[in-house]
Amino acid sequence: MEINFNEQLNEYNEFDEKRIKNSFVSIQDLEKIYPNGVKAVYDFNLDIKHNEFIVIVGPSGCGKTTTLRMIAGLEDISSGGVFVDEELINYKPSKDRKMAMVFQSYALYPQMNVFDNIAFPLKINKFPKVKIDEILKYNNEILELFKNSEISKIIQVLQEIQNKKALKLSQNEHLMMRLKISEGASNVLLEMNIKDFNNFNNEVEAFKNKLSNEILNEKKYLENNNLKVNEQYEFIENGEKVIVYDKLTKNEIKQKVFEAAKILDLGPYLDRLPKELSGGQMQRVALGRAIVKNVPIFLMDEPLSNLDAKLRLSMRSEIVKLHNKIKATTIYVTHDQTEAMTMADRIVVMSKGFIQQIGSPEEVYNHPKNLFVAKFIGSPSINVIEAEYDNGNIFATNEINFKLNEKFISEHNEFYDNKIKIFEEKLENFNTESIEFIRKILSCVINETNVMNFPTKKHKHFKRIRNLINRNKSVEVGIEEKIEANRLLESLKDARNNAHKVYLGIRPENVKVEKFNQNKEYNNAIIVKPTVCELLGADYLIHFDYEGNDFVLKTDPKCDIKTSDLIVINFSYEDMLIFDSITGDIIYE
Amino acid sequence: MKSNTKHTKLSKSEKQRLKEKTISFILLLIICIIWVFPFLYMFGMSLKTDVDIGTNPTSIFPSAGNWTLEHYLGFISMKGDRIDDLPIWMINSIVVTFLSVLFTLIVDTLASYAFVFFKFKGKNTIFAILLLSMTIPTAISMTPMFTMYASVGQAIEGLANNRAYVMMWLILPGVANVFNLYLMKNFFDSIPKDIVESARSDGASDFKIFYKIVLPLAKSTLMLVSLFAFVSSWNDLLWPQLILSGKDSTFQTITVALTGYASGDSWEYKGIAMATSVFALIPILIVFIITQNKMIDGLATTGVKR
Amino acid sequence: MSEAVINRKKDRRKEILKRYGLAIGFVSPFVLVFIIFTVIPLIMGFVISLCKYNPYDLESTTFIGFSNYLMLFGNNVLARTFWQALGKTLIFDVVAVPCLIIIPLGLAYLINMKPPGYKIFRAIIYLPSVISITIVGVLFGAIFSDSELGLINAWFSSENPIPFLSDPVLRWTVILLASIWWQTGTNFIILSAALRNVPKSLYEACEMDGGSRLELFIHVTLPNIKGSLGIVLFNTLIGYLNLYGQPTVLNSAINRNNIESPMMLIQQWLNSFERSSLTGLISATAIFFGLIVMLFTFIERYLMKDRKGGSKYEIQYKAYEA
Repeated sequence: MEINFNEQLNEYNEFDEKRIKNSFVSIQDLEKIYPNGVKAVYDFNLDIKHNEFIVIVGPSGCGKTTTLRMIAGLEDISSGGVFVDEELINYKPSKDRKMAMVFQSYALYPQMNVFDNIAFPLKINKFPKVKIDEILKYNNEILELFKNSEISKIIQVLQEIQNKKALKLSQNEHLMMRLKISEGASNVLLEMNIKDFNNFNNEVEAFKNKLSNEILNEKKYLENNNLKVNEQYEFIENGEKVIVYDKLTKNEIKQKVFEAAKILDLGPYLDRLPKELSGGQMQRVALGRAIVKNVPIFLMDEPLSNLDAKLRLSMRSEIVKLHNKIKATTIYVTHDQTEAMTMADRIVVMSKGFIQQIGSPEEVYNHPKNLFVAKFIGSPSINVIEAEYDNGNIFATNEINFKLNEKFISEHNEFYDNKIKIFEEKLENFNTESIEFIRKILSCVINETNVMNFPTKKHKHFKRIRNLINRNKSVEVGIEEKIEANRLLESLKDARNNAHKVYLGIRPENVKVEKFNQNKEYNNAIIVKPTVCELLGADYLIHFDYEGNDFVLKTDPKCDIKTSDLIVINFSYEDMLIFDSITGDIIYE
Repeated sequence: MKSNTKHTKLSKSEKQRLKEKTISFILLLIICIIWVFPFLYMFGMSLKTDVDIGTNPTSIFPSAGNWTLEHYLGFISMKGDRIDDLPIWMINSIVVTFLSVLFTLIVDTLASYAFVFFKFKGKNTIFAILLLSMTIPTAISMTPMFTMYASVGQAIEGLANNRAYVMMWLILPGVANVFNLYLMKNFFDSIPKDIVESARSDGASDFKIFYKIVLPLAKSTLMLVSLFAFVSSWNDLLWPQLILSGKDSTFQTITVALTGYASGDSWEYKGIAMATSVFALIPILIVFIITQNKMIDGLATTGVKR
Repeated sequence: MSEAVINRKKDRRKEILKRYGLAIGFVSPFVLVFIIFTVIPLIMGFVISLCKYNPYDLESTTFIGFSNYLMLFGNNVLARTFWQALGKTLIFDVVAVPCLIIIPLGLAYLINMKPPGYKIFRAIIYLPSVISITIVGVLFGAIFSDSELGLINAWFSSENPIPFLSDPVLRWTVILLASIWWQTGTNFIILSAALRNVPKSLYEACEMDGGSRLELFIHVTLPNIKGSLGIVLFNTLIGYLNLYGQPTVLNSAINRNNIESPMMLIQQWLNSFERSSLTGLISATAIFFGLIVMLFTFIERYLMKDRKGGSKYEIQYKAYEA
């Protein structure tokens, strides 16, 4: 279908040119709305550099797979744009997007063996090749061969290929390998039908003459038709090499597949059908199929979810090794935060269709932007305690309280002032943006009672057809959001000036523990008995109950604590993260 | 920075999907109209007077004012112009089919259950032999079955024309159907063995397990088997025609009886033939309409390998 | 032995009986019917085929070895009719069986696009499959009748009505059309279910590899419905080798008694009282024909089997590595 170029140009104007120019893949304001009105992805913005390994991570239903599929071209983009190498690819079919995708179910063709599976994209596509004059190039190559090599060797090789059945490779491949010539040249050489090996020299002369004649004729032909070639016999037009699109030859395909098989160690399995392979092997075949396309972008949709735990670990490192070797830009989707932390250059955390945070693993772990990210990243998850903030004093329990300095108090006030300002702005001008803003706030709130269920209308047939034609009916329910926005604003105003609730977060490894010693003096320390002690080999996890909450701490296994022992807990306040209870955003670290 | 572009035009693949649906809708509509046509024709013809049939062959439905129920009334009133013995044929078909379905259900379900849930010697070999027998074409067993039927009927006085004897030979050969065995075995295999084992350890007898636990679960498969048994028994032509030939016409099932009116000639009886056909169709249609979805879904799963 | 031991033995025997008793009880009706109506006829059939046999005159039974079978290759009425009928049926099958696979496949493909009302379309297409062949005969006999009262002839009211059912070629065409109308439904349902079970991710992978619509069909759709295609082919093949109903009900006065298929032959000869002394011969014919059908089915199963790959690529790869 013809794309309306004017429309396309118009859309360009809405996008940020600088971002497009400065990154390899630029995803701007990407959104997805389904025909029944449900919005799956809101306002997705991400700029990816060359060779980056990006992991999009989040719980089920957060929109990560939908985003990936929009980038790949398997889902339609509702609004926004995806740019690859400064080109808008929204309307391009999947195969033209320079991307390869690895599916969760591997999606191997069950009727083809491994070789054919990997070779498939090469077989059905045409690839750009420089147009060369075959006669000139290959005839000359053979003439060179005769000039420079020992005749006896050539005779020997030609005799070898007479017995087709005993050969391991095809005749072409045999010649290519033994005489170190190209495929085209070996085709020419095969034209020489030797009737009598004893009369070799004469036949060679006759053949050489034939080749020379062909060369002369070809040169005349080129002259007559005004075609030019350079020293490598490539056609030149207007000073540039001529490129044609043509299918690859069998040998070229074989070469590429073998290369990929070598990298992935699939040699022994090339003849097997997918049903004869294990999960890990199938995964590698899927990777092979992606590698062989020679594209700069790899997309992976939860490729490790179907593997067992141990295999997952080994494949994880294999994928990273592969990425380093091939240097392709990779976008990887998973729900496993361990995979994200170990593999990514940058992590994109998503929830309920919104991006919560983008950052390196270190950033996302140590400086989470909100409570959702803090809880999602990190295993075991962060401990969260409710506390009360009153003008710089934080009070959770008798044992957990501290006072914060002036700097923090002013930061705190600034935080709330900002928030209040933003909310007031949004409420003044209550439109679609505001509605989505509220939804975003709610997307990361842990308190389930706060989460609204945005009603999706069940459209019967008629309406479904109507919806197909004018989509974007997603934002009909604005009233509930408005009420919610007002309620939040009130809470914020209240929080700004009065005592209010905050959440304290502390990572398990930052909780200090020691065995209870009767003779020691403990000031304001928590003394409990552990509920569960888990030995993970190098780490030791101790669970304990405190004030009705379940806490986890991570410590050295050498500490020799059992569930019968009493332990003393110390929270180091410097490592605590303080979160606002209304919006979930972080206030202080 | 944030763009509020609402794309009201459809993107490429959505346009394609819409195009697909419209084309397939139009094509299927045309095909289905052609498909339904013979039924309409049959129904319309059955309401035409014989005169009308002769004078207006092209119209599907009777010309104005010439609608008639005379062909139908013939059955009910037992007088006037009707195809003889229709009511008896219908009764025959109903009885034969009903008994077929009943016996098939009982015999096949019990046997299939035994093969899946009981352990006994030689179970697997017997089952393998049964499966193998599916490959033997019906042609081979037709002759000897017929001769058995004929010889026994000949040997015992009066048996040959005994209604019960003939009925028995109509019903029983189809009862031990290995395909049904296979269908039900597939279903029984899918029941997790844990249920049976826990019931057994609770002390339930095997029969109780069958009756109270497995059977209720198997309702849809049983219904499927009944449906197929019903349709195949009602529509059977080959074997009944063989047995019933030469016998009194009151023995015939409706399917066999109608063959006489199937030719392209005998236009004097076309109206009646059509009405008879409609009649013959009614039971099947009723069953079909009620269970249509189940029938279709069940048939679909026979092709699916687990 | 002490009484306790004897009692225990008795109990165990009772238990075994109880255990197996139920199993035997469940299986026996089936096995009984099966033996009486399948196994015995089979054996009997084979035995009869080796004899001269008359069910109405059992004393005249004599053993004559394979001479019944040899009759099929001789120059007599039976042989000629049989081979002629077989030939006609096979020619018809070569046309009919592909029709009955491709047309349902096409319809299944259309219906899987789920246009509005597809459930109704599905039911309509399947409906003819549940009616009996005689009704089909009545209907198509009337529509394609030779006389000018037949629907088609009346529409094209020309001088001479087209002899649909008298002319041999036309008659087979009508039989073909009737068969398609009658039996597309079953295959259609099975194939449509198979189409739905093709994993969507496979289509997407092929799209991403650059496949066109046609390539999607060849490389993704067809291989993944192979199982169901095999079943459909198997059933249709058997059904149409055993062709019986359609020629029986779709005929005109001229060819009413023609024997168009081997099954018709067996049926008619069995039916006629005059030929009852030839029962042995008929049985032999039936067995011979049955063997031909079995041969076809074995060939079909063999062709549709999954092949295992060799190891050619592995060898070449090793050479490449070296």
